[in-house]
Amino acid sequence: MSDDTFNLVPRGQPGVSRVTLEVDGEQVTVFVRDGKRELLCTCGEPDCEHAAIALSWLGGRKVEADQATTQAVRSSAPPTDAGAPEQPSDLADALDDLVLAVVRGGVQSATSLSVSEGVEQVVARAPKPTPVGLARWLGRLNAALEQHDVGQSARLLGGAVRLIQDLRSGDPGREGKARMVAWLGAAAGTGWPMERVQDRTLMEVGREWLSGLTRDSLERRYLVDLGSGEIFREEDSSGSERLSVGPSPRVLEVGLAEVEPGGVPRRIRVLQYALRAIPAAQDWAKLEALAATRVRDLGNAYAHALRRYPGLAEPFVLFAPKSMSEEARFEPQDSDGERLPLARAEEPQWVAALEGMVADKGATWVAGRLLDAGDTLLLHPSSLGFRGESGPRMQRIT
Amino acid sequence: MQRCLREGVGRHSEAPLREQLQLPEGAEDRELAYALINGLVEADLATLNQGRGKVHDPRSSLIPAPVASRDTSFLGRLRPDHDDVDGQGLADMADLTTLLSVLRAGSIFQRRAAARRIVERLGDRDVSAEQQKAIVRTLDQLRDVEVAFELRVCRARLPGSAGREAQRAQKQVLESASQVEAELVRYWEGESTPEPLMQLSGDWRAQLFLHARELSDSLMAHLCALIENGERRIQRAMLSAARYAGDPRLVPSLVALLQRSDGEVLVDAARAISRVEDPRVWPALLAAYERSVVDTERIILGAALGRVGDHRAADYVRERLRDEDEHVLMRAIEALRTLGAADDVDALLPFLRSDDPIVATKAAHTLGRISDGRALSELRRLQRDGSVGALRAAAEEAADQIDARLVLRGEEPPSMSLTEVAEEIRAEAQNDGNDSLWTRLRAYRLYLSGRLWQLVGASRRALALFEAAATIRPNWALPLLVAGMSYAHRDEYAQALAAFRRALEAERGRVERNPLVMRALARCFLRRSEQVEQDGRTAIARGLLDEVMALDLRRAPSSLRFEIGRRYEALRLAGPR
Repeated sequence: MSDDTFNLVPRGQPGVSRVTLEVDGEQVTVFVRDGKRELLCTCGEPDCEHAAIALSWLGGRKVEADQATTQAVRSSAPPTDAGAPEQPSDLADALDDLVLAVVRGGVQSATSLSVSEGVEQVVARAPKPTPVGLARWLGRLNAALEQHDVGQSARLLGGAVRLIQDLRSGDPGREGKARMVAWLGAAAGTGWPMERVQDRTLMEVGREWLSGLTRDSLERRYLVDLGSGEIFREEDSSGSERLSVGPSPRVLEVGLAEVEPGGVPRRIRVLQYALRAIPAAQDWAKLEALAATRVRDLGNAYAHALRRYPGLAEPFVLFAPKSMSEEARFEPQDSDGERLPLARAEEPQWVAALEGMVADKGATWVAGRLLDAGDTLLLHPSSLGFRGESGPRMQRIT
Repeated sequence: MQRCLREGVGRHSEAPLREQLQLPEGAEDRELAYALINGLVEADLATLNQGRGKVHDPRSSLIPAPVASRDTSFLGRLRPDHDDVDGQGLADMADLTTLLSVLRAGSIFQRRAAARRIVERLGDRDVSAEQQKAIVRTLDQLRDVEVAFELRVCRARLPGSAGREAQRAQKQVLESASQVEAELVRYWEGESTPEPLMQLSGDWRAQLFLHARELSDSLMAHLCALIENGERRIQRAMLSAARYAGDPRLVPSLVALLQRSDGEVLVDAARAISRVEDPRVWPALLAAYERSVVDTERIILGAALGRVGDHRAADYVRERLRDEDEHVLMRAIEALRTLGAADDVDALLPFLRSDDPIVATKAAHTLGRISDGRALSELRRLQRDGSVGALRAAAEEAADQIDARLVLRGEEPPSMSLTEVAEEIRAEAQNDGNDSLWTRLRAYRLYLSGRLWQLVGASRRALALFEAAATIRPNWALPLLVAGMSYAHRDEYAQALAAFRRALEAERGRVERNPLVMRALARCFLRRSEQVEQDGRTAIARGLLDEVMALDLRRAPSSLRFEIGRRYEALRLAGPR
């Protein structure tokens, strides 16, 4: 919503660039960008009555004239977070049983009846709909058990053990509350205040479909904050209306969003945004400048993320390789000559596609999830940045 | 500790483990489990980053290998790219005769590679005028929608009107793409509501995405967004348009659909993705095939695997040829195009003789792809005597493919008997009509007057004069064709249909030989059928498509033929409503 010139206070007085009003339980934010007024409301409806009332508070401007200019701002469906578990200890017990079933039966007998029953019990006692964090954890646990991956299974179970302790604790503390929100969503019953972010420019650099309760049931997009460089994940059940719309890549001018605590990348819920389907040259330039350049730094950040949230963290990075290895295989390496090997074992097709693209177009950056094979850091590629004839471009791999 | 978690705590004596974890003997199982997990996590996290300097993923790959075809012939071994081992790579091939044969009879990826190589060879100085003529002749005959993009690039490199026409068509498509691109920016930015690709007609969308590899990233990203998250109706329309796009930029979205869809969307996604040369395609198709339990879906997924060189579904599909379900049977016949071998000819010939023209046409196409000489005589008979235009065209194409394949195998096609040739000449002679000179002159004067009025914009008067010309010389198609095209130009499809039908009655051969007319005529039938279908008159819509499919559509653009075929099949399989 905009008009030609707008000030939130009379001219000549100290500037106010943002006002948030609560109208009938909805947050209406009025702010000034490039001399134009923008207006966002958490109800998600364009031309809503909350906005009209808010505007009438701010100088009694005629609402009818403003309503014609609201189309450019989009709203995601409001979050419908699962309710808090009725009995947190029930969920803790179910998780406990599942952990014990795996430990008793062993990772190599992953499909045992007691493990399946354990999973069913966890889902039954979790808030409905199953929170995304928990669903993704179950999806990853299933995969780790199917692959008989002891290290990964232990990490995931380790994450669950911490959650069990938080759920059973009367006062889980700040860290524990944050962990509960990361697993169970905003309404984990902790009273944890969600971090609200405003006025951010986010650029999507990758998306993938991941297993949750069922195969590929979660849709995840990776959004880079072009200001701070933080990478967020926007994640929900596949096709959910709570996800922002648009192609990949794209730029979101975010008016209002909520960020959950938890494993990196942190989950973001974009509530009010404007969309640019074609990123501008300066967006690409900012993105390129934000890419990490040292493998050592990535390794340290990866280890730190896993220590904090062993069951949830799935670090995603944007890496600008200094050069490619000169062998037939493409392996990005940094200026110290340190390599970031690509994850080829489970699904070599993604790496093969990346190699084909790099051979054809070159690479300015590679984005993807970090994994490890024991002591070796690996990259599961999601997208490739390169310079085309018309300037910087991106090609999706996943 | 690792072994305990791998094999299960219950399988071993717990005492050493308790000792290692410094737990008292009476500690509960839960305590033991937590301590084991925490111990493992700590040890595991402590090793992170210690493998710096490792250059590759140390894990071994678990992916199974494709099941290759049994074709050990030259064509079976011919690689689309360079082949460093035995030199059988199309990218290095210089012999134009062989390249043209591969362009007719190879697999989709061989045909594409042959077309690309022909484009390169067209730039070489050693290509003689005779060879150029052979290229023009072959390109003129080919109506292969799977390699339409490559054929268009070839045509654009040709000298003369054929080249100019191809360049003009390309320019038109790219201009249209630019308009769509501008609209999609407005669409996403919330300034215009209608989605721009859905505003295009189905055949124009198909035409647009036949050129996908020349389209901008933003347009393709938009298409991907619609494929991934559009409504089902939009998804299907986009998948149908993108079936022959062959663009690797579509792969992530199509893989996502293969992973999480079922029914027609899954089938459409499999058909589209199998035509893309990309390493991500085969594993995605394999996973979808192995998960699938519904025959109609599994057959298409098997066929898609066959297209990318994995023939594991061949026996399963052969079994389905005995199925009584029409849907299953038709898809099995279709699937043998990519999975079939010479042994399948005997099983397919009875379908070629079917009274149902759709079944017979599908069988002809499949026999063409299998390309065994035993099917030739039957196909030649159909080409000559077939009562349905589409079937005759399919038979002719199939016979040409078999000829080309025989050349590649070093065999010779059986020659037509003298009797067959004589019959053809006699049939052509019967098509000659005769009018009196006076009638011709009068009709021609009326026609010319009509064209003059048309030039000054008096359409109604012009149409009346064309009608008069056609009335006094009923076996002359030209005025009717001009009238039909004039109606079609103004989107008056019902009136255009009437004019075209009369023109077909008068001079069917002439009409069918004219690419411009056939384009307008086919589009007119398609549009009219869309209109009546929207009105709920499905049977009439299907009848119109039935009618146009009976014509020789070889001169119509491949995207239109594809759209007509697709809609016809959709209406037919939907059954009477």
